[in-house]
Amino acid sequence: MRIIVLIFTFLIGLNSFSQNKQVLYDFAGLPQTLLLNPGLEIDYKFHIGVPLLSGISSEIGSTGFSLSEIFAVNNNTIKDKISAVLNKIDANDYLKVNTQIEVFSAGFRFDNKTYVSFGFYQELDAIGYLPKDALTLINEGNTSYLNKSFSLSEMIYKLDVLGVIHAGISRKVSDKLTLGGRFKVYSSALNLETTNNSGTFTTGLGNNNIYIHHLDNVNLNLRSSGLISNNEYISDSSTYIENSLLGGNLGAGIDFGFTYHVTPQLQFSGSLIDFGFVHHTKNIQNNLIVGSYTFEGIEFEFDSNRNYWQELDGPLKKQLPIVGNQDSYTSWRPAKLNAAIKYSFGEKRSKYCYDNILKDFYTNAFGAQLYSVNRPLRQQFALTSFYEKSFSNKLQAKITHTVDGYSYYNIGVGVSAKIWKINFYGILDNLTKLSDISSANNVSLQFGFNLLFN
Amino acid sequence: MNLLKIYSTAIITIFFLSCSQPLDFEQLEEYTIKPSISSSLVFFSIDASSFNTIISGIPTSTEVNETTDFKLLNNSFIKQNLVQLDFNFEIKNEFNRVFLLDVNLLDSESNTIHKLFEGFEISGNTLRISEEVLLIIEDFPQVVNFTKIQFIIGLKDTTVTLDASNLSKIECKSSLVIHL
Repeated sequence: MRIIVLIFTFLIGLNSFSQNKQVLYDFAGLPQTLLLNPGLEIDYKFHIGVPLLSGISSEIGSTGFSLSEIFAVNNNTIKDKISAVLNKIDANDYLKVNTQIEVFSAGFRFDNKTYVSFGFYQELDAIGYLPKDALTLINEGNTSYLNKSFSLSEMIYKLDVLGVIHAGISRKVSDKLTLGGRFKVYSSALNLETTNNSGTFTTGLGNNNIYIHHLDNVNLNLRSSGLISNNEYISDSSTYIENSLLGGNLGAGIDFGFTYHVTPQLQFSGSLIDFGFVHHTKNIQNNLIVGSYTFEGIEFEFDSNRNYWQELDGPLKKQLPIVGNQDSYTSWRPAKLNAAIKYSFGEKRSKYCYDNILKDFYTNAFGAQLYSVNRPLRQQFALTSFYEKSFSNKLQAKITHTVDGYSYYNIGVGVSAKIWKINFYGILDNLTKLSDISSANNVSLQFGFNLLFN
Repeated sequence: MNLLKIYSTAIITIFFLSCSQPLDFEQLEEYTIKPSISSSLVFFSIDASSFNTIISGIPTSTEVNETTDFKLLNNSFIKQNLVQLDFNFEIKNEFNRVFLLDVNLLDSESNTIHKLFEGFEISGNTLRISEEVLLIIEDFPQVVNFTKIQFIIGLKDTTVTLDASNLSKIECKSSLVIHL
């Protein structure tokens, strides 16, 4: 339990320094916005991301509790605080981690209408729902919960570590419409997942004995790839890195996106990101537990010299077998949906774009964005309103207010600046929690450096 | 590794730019899980025939004896964290005779390490006897090594055998609560 709490703590601690990509979406024409919508408009001739520093992002969040609820220094004991958290959470609460590091990225203008971009990034994406029943059983046992059915279906987690090679194209098909697409090759270094489990554990009063224990309709499927090779855990970190460089389990995915100008000032955009899968065929170890088992105790038959304990083992293994296999399986990537409406207004200015073409832009914009990501239990949503300001054609800022599963008042801010050809951007959200980040459920960070050429 | 350093540096920088109320992570050292795990143990129902035998052609009263492995405690985590064991027994005696019950905890070598009951009297015509034996491990540290449990039950008065045609039974149910 300590280890579990420590891991939770670590994740929540990291939470204080992570990012929200809604701020980045369609912000300042940054190259990284193409990873959120390949159909966004790009105005420069070519770009090169600073290797390893062009896009660093992480988003780590939790629902149901925050770090300070467990570790704040107050008069409550740690036991009381953990009990309070366990009472507070439910099976819909989760811990989530997403980190991306762009190893390299670049792009170039193919013609006046077409921009091609490509790159490679590594990603860690994990979500684990809090199995309240299992945590209660571990923490308190079954004695106080006679006749309660502890659900095994709450056990849901998914972890992916993978490298992604991608290439995309953004094409202006008319004055009003820009379409984009991106093809991705995933190389999974590690996948752990279990979903769609079922079953209950119940202790009740028995007829033949004081208690009877039921494991009913158990169906657990724990899948892994990249973790175990030849019956041994892969402990060499270089193996994971190699496997993320096309050496692992491969998959493919696509991104779609568009931008549509209803008027010069009113714009719609939308995208579907990471619609893809990884087919796991290497270093697989799956464990299936299927069946039901009832235990009412050991029935004595006196002076029999029976080996009762061994006799229990047989039916248990027969009725509730743990079957390991190395069957290949397919894991879907968490597809994301973005949609946005943006209204530009204020002073109208011009800026030089590729090949010294002048393009008009408004210094202010506001709008709304909807973000959704497909997660094992259900879709997760975030609704963002934003205001964007261009102080000059080299300095832009964006402020957002996001309502999501973590909070109703997540305020974020992003700044993008360009000095000579060097662009720097930084994004931070949940600003209201910066004075006490330990009480935040979700604070995020993103930054990067690019070289942009007109 | 360089990537990790860069990333860590950025994160730590943000950390120092932000604020947090005082947190004490060492509290976790004080935290131990304290579950109470209830488990069924042994149960049986025996009739008159079990207590009679014929020796040299003469009906003789006897006692019955049975032992089973019970290895729930045979786990290093449980051994290290065990605080208390609660043994619960529910006994029904339909005979009009008094029985004596021994319940022993044995180690893996079948040595008795603790006697839960020694000569416990089960009165006749008793429909329900409930008994609880609590063992605090601090007082009985050897009990953590219990991996077998033995029941011995016999007539108190062995001079008079049970009537073999007697349809009465003696029943026993038991459970164990493991407090960590």
